[in-house]
Amino acid sequence: MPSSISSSNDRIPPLPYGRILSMALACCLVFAGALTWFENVRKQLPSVGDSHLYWGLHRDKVYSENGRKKVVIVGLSRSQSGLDPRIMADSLQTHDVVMLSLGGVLSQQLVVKDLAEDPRFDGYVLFDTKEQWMLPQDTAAVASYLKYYHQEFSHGGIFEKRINARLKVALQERSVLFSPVSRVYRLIWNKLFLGDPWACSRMRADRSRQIWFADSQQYLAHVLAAPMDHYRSKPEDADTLLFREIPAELNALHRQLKARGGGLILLRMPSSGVIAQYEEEAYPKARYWDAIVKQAQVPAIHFADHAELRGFNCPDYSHLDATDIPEFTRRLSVVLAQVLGEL
Amino acid sequence: MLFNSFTFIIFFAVVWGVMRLNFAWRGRKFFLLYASYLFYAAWNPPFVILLWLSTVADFYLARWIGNTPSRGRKRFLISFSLVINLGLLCYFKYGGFILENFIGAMHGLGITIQCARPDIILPAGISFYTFLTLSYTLDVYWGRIKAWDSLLDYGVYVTFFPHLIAGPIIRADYFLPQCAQPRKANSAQLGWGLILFIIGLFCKVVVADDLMSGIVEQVYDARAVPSMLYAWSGTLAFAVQIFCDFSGYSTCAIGAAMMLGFKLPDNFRYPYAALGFSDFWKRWHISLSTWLRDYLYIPLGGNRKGEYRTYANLMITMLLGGLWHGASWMFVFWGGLHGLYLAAEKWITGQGWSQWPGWRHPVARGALMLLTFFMVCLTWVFFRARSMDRAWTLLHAMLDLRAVSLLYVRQFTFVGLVTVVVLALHFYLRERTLEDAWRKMPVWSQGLLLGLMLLGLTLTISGEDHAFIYFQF
Repeated sequence: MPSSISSSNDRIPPLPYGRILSMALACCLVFAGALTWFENVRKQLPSVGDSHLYWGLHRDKVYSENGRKKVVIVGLSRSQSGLDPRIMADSLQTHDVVMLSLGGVLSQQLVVKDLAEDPRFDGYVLFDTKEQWMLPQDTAAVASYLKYYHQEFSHGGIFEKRINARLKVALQERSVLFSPVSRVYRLIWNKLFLGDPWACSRMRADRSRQIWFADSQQYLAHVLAAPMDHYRSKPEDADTLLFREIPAELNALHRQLKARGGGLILLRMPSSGVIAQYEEEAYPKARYWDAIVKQAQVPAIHFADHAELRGFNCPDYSHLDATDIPEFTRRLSVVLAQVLGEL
Repeated sequence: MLFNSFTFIIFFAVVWGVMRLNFAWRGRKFFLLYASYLFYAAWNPPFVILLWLSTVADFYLARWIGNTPSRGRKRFLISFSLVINLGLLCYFKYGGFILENFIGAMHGLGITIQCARPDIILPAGISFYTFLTLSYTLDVYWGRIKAWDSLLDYGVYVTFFPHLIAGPIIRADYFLPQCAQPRKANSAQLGWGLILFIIGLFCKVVVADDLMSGIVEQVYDARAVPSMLYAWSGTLAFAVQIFCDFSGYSTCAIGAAMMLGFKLPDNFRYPYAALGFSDFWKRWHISLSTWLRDYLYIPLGGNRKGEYRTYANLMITMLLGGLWHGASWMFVFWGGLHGLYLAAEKWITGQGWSQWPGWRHPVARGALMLLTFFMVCLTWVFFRARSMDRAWTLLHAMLDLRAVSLLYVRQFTFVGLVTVVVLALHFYLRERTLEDAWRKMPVWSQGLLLGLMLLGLTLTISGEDHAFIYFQF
């Protein structure tokens, strides 16, 4: 190697390293403690950060264990922030529950298709959807999760990543310091430039989310101020797709799952206020949901069809408050158990 | 296994602990070898076999080259080594790319070939360890070094985990002698090594991943035509990201090696303070640029075969240097741009314009530094963009003064501030060393700065783990 190539090893400064590193650790602990106190004042709770790897780890849990089949929740934020997998599993007693919903990621039917085509999966898919989401949407985001899972989980290298993820989650469950809300970029960007509307929300280790709207009036006001016209948008070919192609696809997926002893159950989570109004205007239930379900011949649970599921208010018109999740989940589980019994 | 993972911290703690024990050096080297293979296997176990085959093949080929007096036989053996190494690299890294371009070329000639693109997994670090083993066999062939007797030492040299996946690309005569004697870090090496590791990790995880990567993805992976400020914010963010990511990795590697008692060379020397492009390449990815100089540029003739041949050698070297980064015409174009810059600079130097005394003035040097940085940023557009179309769209937006919009002023301000800090640090450290600058700081401020870095690292635990950008090369 040319002698002109230098090395840090030849230039090590003579310093009191023990003292410097001790001071560094002490500084870090002091600042960390202050930040933890600050986040606690903002009523933030420890929250697990989601990622492709973490989603993949849950995707890998969908297979039967000890003869117990799994109920896999697939959908968007309404189910991710509206259902409690632990309560559902306790209520159902004979099935474990896995949360695969991805907030804000459209085209979840690709996940359902992936499960239906997986010969090892023999469970049930509880598919949180609505007419607008059934229509073709951008698939790039959801495809990236599926691609990551199939690439990374097909060889032994995932073992090290599993251990890393478990250690990370263990830390995140215990301290708000390691939560996504505390990330450097968010702190700088939101504090200096955007002004963070406080939101008390978190994701648990089972990937279910909770939002406490009652504690987050500022956040709620911020959400309600956002435009909502897109809830009533309807593409020109919506009817053709919703009355012909989509029911056929859903039926095919259901039959594929049923052939292995499982099944597909459609779920319409609650909405309220102006969003419910817009959704009903664009896709009246009687004309769309009921017709699609009948044509697809797929079991379905619509919140409006069950008195016990109807009374829940969504503070932001689209998501349940965290305080309502346990009761809603218990009531839904009773309905779900009946549907599973009939399958 | 990423440096920024809990598993690496546990792994390193165990390796460090065992290497500190007082048992035979040979035994410790075996342990280091096994640990390095384990480190590699954490990514994808079957490819350990490929790494092992590459190591053993080149060790024995070099030995035979060194032992045989016949020039013809030496030539045959080195050719064999080149074929194996470059063949494996071509297959795994460029197989799909070559096939795609072949099909495209046939299509251009009116011949249709239907063939599915093979799904070839790229072994982590193959570009790095292939160049490393090639440098060894070539050095032996050219008589620069003697073939090493110990397969164990050679194995440690190739697989030493701090540099295995993303460099620095070390030369055999730099590292192998270190294996001959027992190594144990003293307290200064431990202390400074740990500080370097923290600094490297901070650059990568906090600056590159947490602060910059989101902005880069927004600008480069979108389809919309950006405004000037938006395009510049994405490009400046990428300039900071790729530097902090890659130099961060190298700094971590150097720090980790130091804590084990080994010496690795500097791989970056504040490249954004470069004055001109040959200066840039003496400061950016030094181990690669010196490899290309010693094993490609100089064997091609360097600057010894006349003016036009010099320009041609520069272009070939930089085009292949670009291709080394990835199987895409975007990387080749990026390399070609740098080749053009270097050739143009050589021509300007040849005219005597660089002798003007005014260049010594700080203002002129500052202006030249900014110009060099600006030109390098233009090349980063091609390095990062996913397609030529997107690259030209961004470049056009960056240079279109009519497309200034106030919409992304905040984002641009944020990225601009971070860029200014990076440039200022590079400018300050240009003729200095980090060690000197660090030593001059009061001890309390060293502790405070490190403490803030540790805090920053703690706060990024929740983020998605980003692999180092150069892992894909």
